[in-house]
Amino acid sequence: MLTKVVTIRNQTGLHARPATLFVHEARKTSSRVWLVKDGKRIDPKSITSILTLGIQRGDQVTIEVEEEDRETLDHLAKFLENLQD
Amino acid sequence: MFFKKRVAVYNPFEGKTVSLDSLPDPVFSQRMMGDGVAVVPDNNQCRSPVDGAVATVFPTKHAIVIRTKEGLEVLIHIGLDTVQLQGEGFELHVKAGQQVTKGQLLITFDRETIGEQKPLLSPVIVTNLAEINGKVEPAKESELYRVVFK
Repeated sequence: MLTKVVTIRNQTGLHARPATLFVHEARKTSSRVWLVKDGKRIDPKSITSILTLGIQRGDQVTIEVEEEDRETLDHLAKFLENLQD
Repeated sequence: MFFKKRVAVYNPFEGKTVSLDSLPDPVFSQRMMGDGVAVVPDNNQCRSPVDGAVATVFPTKHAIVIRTKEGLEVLIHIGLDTVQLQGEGFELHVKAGQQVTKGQLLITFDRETIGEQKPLLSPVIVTNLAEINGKVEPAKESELYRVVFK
């Protein structure tokens, strides 16, 4: 398992549009991926699951990727850090 | 089972429907978030389109997801770009996890506060069609649309 902590910087956090864009990135990989906030661990390939976390600007989230898929981890971390509203 | 299972989704608002194709936001018009229709509300109340449980409410109160017992996740997004209002003009009447029935009041919204700043087009979409192997079919009678399991 590989993990990386990311701080959400976009103004509106992971609401509908940014969450959807992130889901589409997460679905591109066949690796198992999780998103964790405040101990809640969800499948970021589901829009509803992501929205359940209520992630807002300034929140720290952890991305977890199964096995040694560092490429996916780095890509998803960078995607979250550079989210547009 | 030898029959296809169907779940009806009803209009959460009073108002006419428009195709998602006509929305200016590609997340909705390209069905990236899911399939369904949009409604132009004439009223100021959002009611549950299905029987189910509140799966999530946005901190900014402008959108809500209801999950049915069949597993459908129906997202109602009141207005476009309304996240920027930061909750102003929205009042929430339910909380996450709560059971709701079709027609139950979920959110009231101030049309003047929202309408002055943002379009009131409101997408009502099923976000997990691929996971549940379902597709959206046109409405029958009072339904907004129905979801058929393939």
